Amino acid sequence: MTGILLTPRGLEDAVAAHRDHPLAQLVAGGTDVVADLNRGVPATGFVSLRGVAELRGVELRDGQWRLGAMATIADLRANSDLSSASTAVGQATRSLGSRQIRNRATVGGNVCGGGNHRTLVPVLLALDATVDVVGPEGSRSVALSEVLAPKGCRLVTGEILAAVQFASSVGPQRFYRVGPRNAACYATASVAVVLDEPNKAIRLALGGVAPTAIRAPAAETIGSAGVDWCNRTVTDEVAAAFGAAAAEAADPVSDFVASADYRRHAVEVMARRALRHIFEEDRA
Amino acid sequence: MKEGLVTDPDAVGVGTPRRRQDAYAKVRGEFEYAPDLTDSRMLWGATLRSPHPHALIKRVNLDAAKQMPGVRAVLGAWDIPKNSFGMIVADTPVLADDRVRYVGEPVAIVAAEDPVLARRTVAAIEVEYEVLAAVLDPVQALDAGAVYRHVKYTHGDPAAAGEVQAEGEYVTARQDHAFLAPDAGIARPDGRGGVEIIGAAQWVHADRPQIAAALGLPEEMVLVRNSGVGGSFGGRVSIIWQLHGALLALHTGRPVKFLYTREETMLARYHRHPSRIWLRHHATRDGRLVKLEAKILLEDGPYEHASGAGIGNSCSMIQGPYSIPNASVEGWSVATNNGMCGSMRGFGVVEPMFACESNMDNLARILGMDGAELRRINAIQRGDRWIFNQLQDRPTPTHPVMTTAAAMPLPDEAKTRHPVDRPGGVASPARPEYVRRGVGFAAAAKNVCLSEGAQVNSTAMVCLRDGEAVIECAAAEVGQGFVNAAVQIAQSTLGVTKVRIGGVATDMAPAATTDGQQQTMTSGPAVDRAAAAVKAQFLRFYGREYGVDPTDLDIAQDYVVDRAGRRLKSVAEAGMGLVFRATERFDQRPTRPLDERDNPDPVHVTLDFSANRCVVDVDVELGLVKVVQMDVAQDVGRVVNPIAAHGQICGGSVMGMGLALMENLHAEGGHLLNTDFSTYLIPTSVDVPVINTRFVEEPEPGISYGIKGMAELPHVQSPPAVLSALRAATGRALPVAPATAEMLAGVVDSDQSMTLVDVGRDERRGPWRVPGETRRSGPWFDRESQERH
Amino acid sequence: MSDSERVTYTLTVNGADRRVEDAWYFETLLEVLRNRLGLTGTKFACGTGQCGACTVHIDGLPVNACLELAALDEGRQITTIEGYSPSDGSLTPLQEAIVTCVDVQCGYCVPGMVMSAAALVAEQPGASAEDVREGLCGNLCRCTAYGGFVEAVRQVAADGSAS
Repeated sequence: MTGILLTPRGLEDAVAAHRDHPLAQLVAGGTDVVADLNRGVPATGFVSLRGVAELRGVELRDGQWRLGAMATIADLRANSDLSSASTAVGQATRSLGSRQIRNRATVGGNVCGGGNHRTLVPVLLALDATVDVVGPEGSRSVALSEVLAPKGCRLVTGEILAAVQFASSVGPQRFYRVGPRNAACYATASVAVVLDEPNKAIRLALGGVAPTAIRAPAAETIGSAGVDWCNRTVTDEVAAAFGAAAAEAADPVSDFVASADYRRHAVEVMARRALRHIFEEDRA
Repeated sequence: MKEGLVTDPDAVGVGTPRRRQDAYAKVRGEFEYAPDLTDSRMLWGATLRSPHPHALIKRVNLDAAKQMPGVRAVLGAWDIPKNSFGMIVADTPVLADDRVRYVGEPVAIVAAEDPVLARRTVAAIEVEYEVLAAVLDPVQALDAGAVYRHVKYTHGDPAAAGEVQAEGEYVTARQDHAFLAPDAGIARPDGRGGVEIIGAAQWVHADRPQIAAALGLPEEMVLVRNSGVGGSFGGRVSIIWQLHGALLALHTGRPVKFLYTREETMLARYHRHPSRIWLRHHATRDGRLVKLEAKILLEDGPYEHASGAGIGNSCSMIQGPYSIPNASVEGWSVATNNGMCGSMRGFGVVEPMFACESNMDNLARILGMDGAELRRINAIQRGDRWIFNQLQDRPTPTHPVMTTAAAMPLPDEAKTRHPVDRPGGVASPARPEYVRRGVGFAAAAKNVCLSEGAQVNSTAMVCLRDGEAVIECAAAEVGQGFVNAAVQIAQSTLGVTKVRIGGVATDMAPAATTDGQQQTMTSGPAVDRAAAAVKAQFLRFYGREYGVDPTDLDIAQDYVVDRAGRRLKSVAEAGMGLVFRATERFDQRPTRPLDERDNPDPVHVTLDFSANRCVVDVDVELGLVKVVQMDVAQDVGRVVNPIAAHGQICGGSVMGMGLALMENLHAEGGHLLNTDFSTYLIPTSVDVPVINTRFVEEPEPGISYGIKGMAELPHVQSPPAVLSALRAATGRALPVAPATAEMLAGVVDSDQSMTLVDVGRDERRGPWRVPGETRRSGPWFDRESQERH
Repeated sequence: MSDSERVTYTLTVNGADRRVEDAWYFETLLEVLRNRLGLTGTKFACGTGQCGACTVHIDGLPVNACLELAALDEGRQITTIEGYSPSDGSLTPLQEAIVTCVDVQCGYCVPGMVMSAAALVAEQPGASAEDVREGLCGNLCRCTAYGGFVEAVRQVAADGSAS
């Protein structure tokens, strides 16, 4: 049995390596891949993206944020402009894992790792993020939701996620999560709420209540129509309807952590509270 | 944190916060633990484990495995001279023979040149199984008669009744010790046909006979040595890798190292018994307890291990720290295929104390009484008789611990805190308007020392030369600080400040096991007696040398002193290079089995008491919790080291808080679902409360310095204390630990968390004794009524 | 680049270049430190990144060594507890604060706690007790309930005398 450990230096090399060795796993920060190795999952070769400079970086250009796939969660937190620009990103990254994990876990790993427990993904969905993907046939840009999957991610063979992009938006944001303890655990359920005030639109994404994180369009419609954009207030009724619609959009499973009923209940409460308080806390 | 509670490197003697000598090596990363052990010629061991909860082994094919690169041995049950071992009952196979009875049971072992090759060799072993139906529910096991021990007794008048009755059924989960150091160690052939085994142990003198018997060797050819132990909490009792390592070492002629992953550590070992306990308290209208009725069901694994001791503890300590004139108690420990169960901090008492205290909350509610007051008026006193027919003949500071804990200052009301202290943590949706504060109270009692006829004794040797004393005592240090307590005791008794203690191995006289919160209280007196004997020897010598009556002499702060305390000569100089040595033994008083009610000996050597007033903040809509504060008062006899005692209370209380909120090793279909730290959750620095401690010191008679065991009781008192506070905050009954968010929020009825099992009629065969009749008692059997099954 | 299961590389550990020969390509930094370089101060406890007992500094950042593929750390500055601790056998102010405020029990979490806290006080001078509790959530302790550690780290962070 032979193994592969490849350390490409540029994006083209990385794409070629990934294409030529389909059984080898892409390794970003390693927090998932190496944990699985330690759990006894046999190694089938690795293509490390550490040396690919094009994948790094956190920058704002022409009102568009670009988070490189290899930007770590710590890199995101270190960018104070990003935390000011997006409260939801700030709250989500603060709650992710521990300092040790944040120094290695990457944006790309969070997006491509699969599952519905990923901390950043609901936030990025609510920010209407797109992803830049590079493959043997060239690059393309697609909505984030197009690549999410319960396991891994939906990319064409040989493609690598290069960056996540979202437009800077104006308006308050919230990220909430509930979990089985108060730090360093996977979220049982989470919500991300982004208000786009100039466009009088609310975007809502839910984590932990479907095979991947999802948007909740029906709730968004209710919220967008029901918010008093002029006076920047929200009534209890609108918030309640928003929450109820969020729960309606959820299709969770029961497992040993929590029942489907609780997950649905949790997103209802979190969405309701997020909207109910979003303006008053913004003013405070 | 106690203000100003710090260690003092210069402190000497009992009652001081002496800094442990091993702290320096530990903080520099130089202290050696079992996983760190290494030997230049060593092979790595690996284990093939059963993937099924119950199956026949039809065929084992080792051909491919034996061809793997780097392999030096592949062994199975057929290679073992005597294929059984066990702490109390030797019914556990070293390697599964014709069948496997839990997922993770060891089937075969290999030794190879490196750990990767060893794992690959294991993967190349082919085993053909025939899967059998497994017993997965304790009620099913009880119905099938798979009972290790059945306890039943009454006290006073079992027909008595109280005007007010409160009953409930309470459940506690399977809990893992989750000590940080995974199971590991090295076995070395000694070149003369024997073997040396080094690893984390609680009782090397119990490990050795089991290992020797299984290997077919006389005991003197087996040396068991304790390494540095990275936590134990009752979890290092069973021999896990030691027998495997010894077999491979003797077979290959080379040292063999085992290092388990976290998952393997969880699968291979035993866990706290899941429990279902029904009880009914009878009381007068003004709250005096009249009678206790209880039925206790402890789930155990497929091999007996120490299950008898667990249910014995449960059936006695179900009483709690209360005086109850009448009682009817029945309990069973039963065998399932869900994995091994055994001792964990608070062995067999965490479960019944949870039930007892939860039902006392229930009773208080029905009576309209304050919980702390209800407990106080029923507190057992010295001179009372326990329901297991033991006279409480020792200091009994139940009132002091209860009133002290209840009177400690509450935290301030502010619920606006740093985000880290929000119920749910930094990204929690909890806000003060959604958070309710609950204040709860629990009291607890636990037996100290092994009970029911177990012999509890220790032998220690103290050696004095050139003014320095060395202690030799086989008491296992597992982190609890015995090594420091022993030094402090010797310092106080002998009057010498320079004292060291050596390691632990079976080439020393036996000490008690580090179990049952008994070590300091048993080996401490052995050290004290040996130190006193050495002092007497030394002063007799000095007296002869200098023509002084030894009764006019003492030793203080490294000097021989006269009656007036005047220094005569340093011990170092006066010793003239001679060695003074004494070996002494200390025995705890004898105890008797629970069911020998007319035997005048006690069931338990002694009992300790504590109370915890706990404050929680709960986001009641979401069931998110922040435990704000615990105020704990504990009966400790005499504090040897206040910062160590505080640390034990804090650590045990938080471990119990883990059971209260988040620790549950889930079994489904006989498989443990969450076997690593990403899914088996223990409290982090964010989860822990402020913990204030108060010691109530009423010296224990007959024990040096009045010392009393203390390290298990914090884990016994804290799960019910946390639940009591959660009940106050949510208004819910919460009869289950852990109380998860969905139970707290009322989304899931706690009762629904118990999986209902249709009890089939499968035949059960196996190593457990099958009594002639099935037991049909307890409300969970009542099929006629529509009550829960 | 390598296309066999065995790789050879050099790691810079505690300021010294250490050659690692014929290691498995998938070995973690934790395994290499402990099994090949004889540096057992960094502890193995969970293997999945929750416990922090394996915390080392890589280019000054605290990371879990159990989640690092060792071969990928060539060229980085790796500091373990052995490198952090003074070579004359003494203690740093942080280590001194820990043994003062904590009655160290089993001690298995302590090297990781030291490495994690050393980075924390450097990054967050003046950290409050709450900041410290948040910052240490990736270091599990089963024995002490963290109280003494938090106080020790808070004191050192307040002193501003990092490490």
